[in-house]
Amino acid sequence: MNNNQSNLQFGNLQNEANQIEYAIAQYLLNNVNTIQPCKIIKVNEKSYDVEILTNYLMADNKPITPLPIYEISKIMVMGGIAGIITELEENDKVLVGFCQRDISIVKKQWDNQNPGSLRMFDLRDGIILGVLSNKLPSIYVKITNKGIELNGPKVTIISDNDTIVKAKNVTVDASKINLGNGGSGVLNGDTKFQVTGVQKGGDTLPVTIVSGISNTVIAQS
Amino acid sequence: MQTELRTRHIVIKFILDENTFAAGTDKEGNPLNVKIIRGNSDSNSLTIEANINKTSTSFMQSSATVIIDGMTVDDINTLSLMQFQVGVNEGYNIVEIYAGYDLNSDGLPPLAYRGQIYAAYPDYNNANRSRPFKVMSLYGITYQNADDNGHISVKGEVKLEDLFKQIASQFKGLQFVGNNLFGYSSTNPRYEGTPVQQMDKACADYGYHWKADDTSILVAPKYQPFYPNEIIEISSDNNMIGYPTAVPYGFQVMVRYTPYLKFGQVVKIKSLMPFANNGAWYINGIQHILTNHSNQFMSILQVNNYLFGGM
Repeated sequence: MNNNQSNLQFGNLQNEANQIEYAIAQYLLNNVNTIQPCKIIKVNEKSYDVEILTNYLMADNKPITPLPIYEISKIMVMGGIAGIITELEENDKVLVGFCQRDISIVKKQWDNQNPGSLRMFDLRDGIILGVLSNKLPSIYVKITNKGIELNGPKVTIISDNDTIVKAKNVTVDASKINLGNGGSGVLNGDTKFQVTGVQKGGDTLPVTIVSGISNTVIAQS
Repeated sequence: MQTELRTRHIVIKFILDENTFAAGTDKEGNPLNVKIIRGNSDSNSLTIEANINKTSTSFMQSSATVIIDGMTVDDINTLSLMQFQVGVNEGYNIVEIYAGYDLNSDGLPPLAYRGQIYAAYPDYNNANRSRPFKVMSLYGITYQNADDNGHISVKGEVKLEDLFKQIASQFKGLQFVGNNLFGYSSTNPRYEGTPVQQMDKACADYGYHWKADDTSILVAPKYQPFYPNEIIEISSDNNMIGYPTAVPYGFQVMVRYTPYLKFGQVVKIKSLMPFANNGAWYINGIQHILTNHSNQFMSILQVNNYLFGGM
């Protein structure tokens, strides 16, 4: 006998325990959604359309692909105004959790609101909790006991103020280094360098740009 | 409407799902899958008894039992169905019960019940030798057993009325009757399961109740009638038998059978009981006890006050 069908036929409801089992199976387990693996099928402006990865099985074990769940939000990795921005893409596999109450109004501002309806633990009130994958990303920030690794085809550090690198050794391993205002690689009279400790007994050695782009020479003053 | 001293008609229509009746053909000579059995309060008629129950909430299905004396053995054999056969075939035979005092152009009084037959068998041992044939029916078996592949998932805002209409459209052959659904909408509605499960869930989500009744699918806010604009007065001058009996959240009222009293109908009660007089009541349960030869041709109504409760 299929375990799923044991004691759940209406005719077997002969005692209180069976009734409770029937009620739990029929109403609680069938209606309370918890978490599900999903696939992103469309990226909207501020939300995502997803499809549940586990098929439904009919009574004859015929599988049916669940219909999409539209416009669900994702959890952000942030605190205050600081955070890590990632952009989910179509076909990404994600883990979606389902809220207890209708969040359709609450999620517009993430502020105190009445529930949009009386529904509970509904698939429509899903939030993407994270990404599911058996592969490591090729572009990443990797934080381990050995250190922090930043990897990507292009790495841009933006700062409105100072950017300070504090280290025992700094190695720049590159075939070409561009320095200059606006990242243009142009050194001119407004560019200021201060090189510390390059001369025995010296403190700070100012470096002056003495020439234009093509014949740039850094002269010791 | 005066109901006493008038001829009472009960007409039972059987519609076979696949089989045909041995006797009788249509105009083209084709065998018929429909059998109409007419009974009235005249003494030369077949004896028919029908007991119809229409209970509140969708989960509790309406049901009916019909007993007909004097049917032919051929018809009995065609219609007989044991409970253990249920589910063997996809389809179900249908019984329609018509009852009232006036006949339409087809010779039928108004419809009182329509449902699927889950058991039907005769009693050949009956003492009066009339081989009473008992037919038991539940309403909406086919909807309960429907494949749950009509799932709904719509992107964007959908008016509640349109959502309920879309779910109701899965109940083939039923006409949608919605009360007070206007002005509300649902965001990205998504409903799964059988049509019954979908309607249950949608109603629970938005504070509505529903009832599939004969040929209609009724939806209204919880604790409100399905037919708010048709008010029928019940009094001792207008079909009430005895006095209303108090039951939880309402009254039970006995009336002579009248086809105009529908499930979800608003009624006004006039009696010596002031509590019953003051309420705004709607029919939230109805039992018809119909016989063409005995003195029983009546209904027991459960009326609830629709000012009670709320969201």
